[in-house]
Amino acid sequence: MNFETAVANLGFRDLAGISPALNLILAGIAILALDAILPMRSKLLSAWIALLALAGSLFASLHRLAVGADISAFNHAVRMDPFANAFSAIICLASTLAVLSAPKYLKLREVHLAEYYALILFSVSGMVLFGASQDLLMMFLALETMSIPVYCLVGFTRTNVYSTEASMKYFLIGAFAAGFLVYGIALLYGAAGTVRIEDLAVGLDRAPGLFYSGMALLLVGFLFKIGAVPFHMWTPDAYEGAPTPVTTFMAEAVKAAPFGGMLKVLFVGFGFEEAMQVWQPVLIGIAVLTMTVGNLIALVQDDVKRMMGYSSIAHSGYILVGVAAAAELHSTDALAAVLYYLFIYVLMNAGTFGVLILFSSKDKDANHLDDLVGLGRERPWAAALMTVFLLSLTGIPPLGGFFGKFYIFSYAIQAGMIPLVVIAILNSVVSAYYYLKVIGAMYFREPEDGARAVFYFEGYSVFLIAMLWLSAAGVVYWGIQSETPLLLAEQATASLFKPAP
Amino acid sequence: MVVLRFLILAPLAAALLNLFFGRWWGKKTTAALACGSVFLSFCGALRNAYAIQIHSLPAQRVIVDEIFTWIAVGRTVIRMDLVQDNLTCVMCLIITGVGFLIHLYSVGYMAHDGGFRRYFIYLNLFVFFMLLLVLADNLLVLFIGWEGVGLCSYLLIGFWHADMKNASAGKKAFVVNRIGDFGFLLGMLVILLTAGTLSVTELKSAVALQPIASGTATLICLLLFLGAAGKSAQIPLYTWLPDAMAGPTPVSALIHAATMVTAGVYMIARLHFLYALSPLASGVVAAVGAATAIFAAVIGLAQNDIKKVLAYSTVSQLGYMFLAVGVGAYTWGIFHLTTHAFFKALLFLGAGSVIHGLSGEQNLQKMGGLRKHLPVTFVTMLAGTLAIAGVPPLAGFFSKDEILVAARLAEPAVWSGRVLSGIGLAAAFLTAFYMGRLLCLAFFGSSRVEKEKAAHLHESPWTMTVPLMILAILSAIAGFGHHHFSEWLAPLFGHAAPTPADIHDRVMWASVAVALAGLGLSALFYIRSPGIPARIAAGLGGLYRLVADKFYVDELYDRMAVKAVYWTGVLSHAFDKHVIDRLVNWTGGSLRAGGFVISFLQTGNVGHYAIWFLAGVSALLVLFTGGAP
Repeated sequence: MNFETAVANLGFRDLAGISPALNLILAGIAILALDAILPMRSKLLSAWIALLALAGSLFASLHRLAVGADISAFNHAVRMDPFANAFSAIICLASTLAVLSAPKYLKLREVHLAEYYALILFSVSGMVLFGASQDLLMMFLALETMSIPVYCLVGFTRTNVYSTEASMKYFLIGAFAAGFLVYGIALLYGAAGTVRIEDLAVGLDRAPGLFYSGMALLLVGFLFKIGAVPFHMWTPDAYEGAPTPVTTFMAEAVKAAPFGGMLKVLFVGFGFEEAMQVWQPVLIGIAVLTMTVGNLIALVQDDVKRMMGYSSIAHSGYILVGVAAAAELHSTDALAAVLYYLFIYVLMNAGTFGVLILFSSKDKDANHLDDLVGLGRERPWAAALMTVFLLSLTGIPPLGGFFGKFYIFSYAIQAGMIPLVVIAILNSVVSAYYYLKVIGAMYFREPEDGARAVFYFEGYSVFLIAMLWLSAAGVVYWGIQSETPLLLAEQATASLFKPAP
Repeated sequence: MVVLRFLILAPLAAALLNLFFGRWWGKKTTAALACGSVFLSFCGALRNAYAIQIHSLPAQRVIVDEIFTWIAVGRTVIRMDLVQDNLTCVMCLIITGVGFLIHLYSVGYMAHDGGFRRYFIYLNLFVFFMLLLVLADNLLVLFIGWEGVGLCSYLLIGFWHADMKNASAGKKAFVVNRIGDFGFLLGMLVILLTAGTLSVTELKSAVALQPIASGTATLICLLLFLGAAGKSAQIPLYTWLPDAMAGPTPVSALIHAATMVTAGVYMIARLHFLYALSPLASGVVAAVGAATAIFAAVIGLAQNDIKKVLAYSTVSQLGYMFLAVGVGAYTWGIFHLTTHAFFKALLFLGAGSVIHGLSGEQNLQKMGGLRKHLPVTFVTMLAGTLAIAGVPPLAGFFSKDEILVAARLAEPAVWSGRVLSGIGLAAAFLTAFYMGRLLCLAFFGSSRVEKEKAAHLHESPWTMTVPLMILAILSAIAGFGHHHFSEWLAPLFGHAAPTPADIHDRVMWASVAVALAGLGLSALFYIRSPGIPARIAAGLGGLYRLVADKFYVDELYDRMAVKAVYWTGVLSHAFDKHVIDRLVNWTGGSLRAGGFVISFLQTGNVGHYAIWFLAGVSALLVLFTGGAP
């Protein structure tokens, strides 16, 4: 098929196929246009538009997932199969929660601009396409579409030194990583003569050296995105410096999305036996490192936001355990456990940051442990919600976090990786210390000078309250009712190995 | 009929509403919600009883409400099913009916208490758990109710928890019940292992198809009986019940007389098909019941606290019920449970009315001559006393009589029927005596009330006296329904075999004789010549002290069990503190130190980050291409 016919074949069907992403892009453009036309009124309106667009994409993805739609578009560059739809749904949910948390904080910081929502929407559209990409070039494009807006968002409070510094650091390291990724794609193209993910395997016979180097560099790009050790260094700095709603967005959506592309490349591109024997042990090693380093450093943090940065590194480690187990078992059900984990992780993380935002005031964030002392007595509901999220992050039944870990670890045990599971569980024990430290500060510590702690809901936002309750309800409900999301996830991962239509 | 989940949810809903929103409305709304919800449940239970009554086919005389599957692991499926049959109908009506009256009574009794809302939340929660216990089809769900009522009992015994004594009474009840619950849990596990199900319905059909081996059945039944002995205060686990009188008096009436403590009897009646398989276990139940009946009655003779007398009387009457179910007279066990619920609730509420009128005085020696001041209380308590003593034609006469006849005719495995019925008769005599003593000391003779308390002496308000009157009427007439009652339960327990008329008559006359003798003797001792008891007590000397101090059973347990457990605790604590804690602290400390060291790698310098990044890339490249040519 030559270029002209390929272009001529494009049409409405392709656009309809990627409608969950397209919808977001259009909404983003609409927000920018609206901001130009009605600069005074566009702020909250943009939030509503963003929410509507995200909800639309969320329901479209869920619907497609439920009916098992499998659509190839743009000459098989994009495939909206149940796998891509599942990721799209998780990401849209995550972004919805992030958008809900934003207005209050941005208003207080006096940077409540319409561009914020447009940037988020553009980024999310990249994320949706990332998991749907069928060739490496498309994947790279999607990755950059999702990354560049996030660099801007991290530096969104541009008068704040930490915010700009974090943005700069993140951008530099991100560019660094993107270089490796592109180089990896080039090497793989050199080896296989194609960038189609499902055809990469031919490269192994033609040029094994090129193939394995390309695989390594590609993996580096992904591991950077998910914050795996030793490519994790940017995470705490960026998380701490970014405005808290952006941190929320990064810790859930930007965290979950790369797994979509990564799983696809690992299991479709490098899913055959020889390649798997190479990357699976390495992934186990990285998982151990990631969990251990993340948890150990989190132990000594007193800033909850920074602590959550390290905690998110540790959680990447747990997820990698699930990926390694799925590779060992050749089981799509084990991959489904990874998806379920991501889903729950999004909810509990969003909630934790949400509570931090709840008590951020005009001049300062309530991020430090000492800022939360006495919360249990003064604001019992907020403290109770925070406790639910933290307990879920620790992995206490019957909350979602427990079942996420439970499924991943039980698949790892099935795969015979007992030492790995022991390490992972010991790591969970370590993590209990710093999560419970926060609960301890909220309930069991008294303000040092004996005065009553004061907590104002400065800039009270219904959006934020809704986000907190939704996340908490999700963590509790979908923890107990884990069957339904797990079933959907199993459908999604099963489609990963079906030939494209 | 009414779907069963609404039956149990009404009290729960009221409890939750009062819990979450109660601070915004006053006592009146709280009380109305609490009483109303229980009354609603009562109406529902009544409606269901009628629905069961009009079904002509036995198979349809069961109402099932399948709510959801709770646990499904492998072959074990635990469903949240509620089942109402003839037996549970009786229990539901007692719980909600007597429960409603006691709720109503509490409105007056607790009117001036600061914890008004908390009290009604606990009480409603109790009704919810009790209904769950009774209606559950699955033993595990029953166990939820079982533990739930235990929790409410604990909370309500220690209701005035500012007083250390009350708090430790609650703790004692909780701990002693734990021992029984342990047996109950083990019993359930053995059932699960042998029959593969915990659903009573399934268990019944499974047993009918293929009976469990008699050894296993005995083990199961004895373990379950341990649980029942804990909850229903039988030897050797009865010690918590007298102490439980620390709670508000209506609580004693509802939980520690009418409903919760009868859960053990109900459970055995419910699993009667298992006990039928094990004559030995049934014999043990009957023997323990009889022994408890007489033992507690003896202690009751020498108590001076009005509530303590009633508490030992409850233990003793529960012994009668176990005697009944032990000899296979399930119908009469449940019948006695019913009549006992009426007259014992009445007696407790009456005692509460006395205590209320006397501004908190509970010592019988400081009462006397109250019948003029508390006329309604006196008349109703008189009815209750005659009922419990077994004077015909009041309710207690019929139920006690039937139990004694059944025991006389039975051939139990442990003690002979003659012995059991003899003990029962002796206990009946003692019951009549100590109840007569209570009545005489409180209401007759000259007043020994302290001056300042006598000034406030008053009859209770209508919310308190109306329940008394209703319960008094029920205690008086309930006995006439005994034929209907046995007909009603016949689908479950079968029709009672006709008793030989001569034995029946002999037992009946004997029981009437001992009842009247006991009452007469107490009147002689405490009204005619009040000097006699003191002389007898002095004459008996040590023996009297032994009885008055409850045979030193508490002290014995304290020496044997509590002290041993305490010292084990001290040792474990030392081990925990000096060995385990140090290990934990050391591990934690070194982990923190590790984290501290690693955190130095996080310099904040992008250049350093890039170096680590490059190191990672190099390592990955080497690892990946190492195997390739």
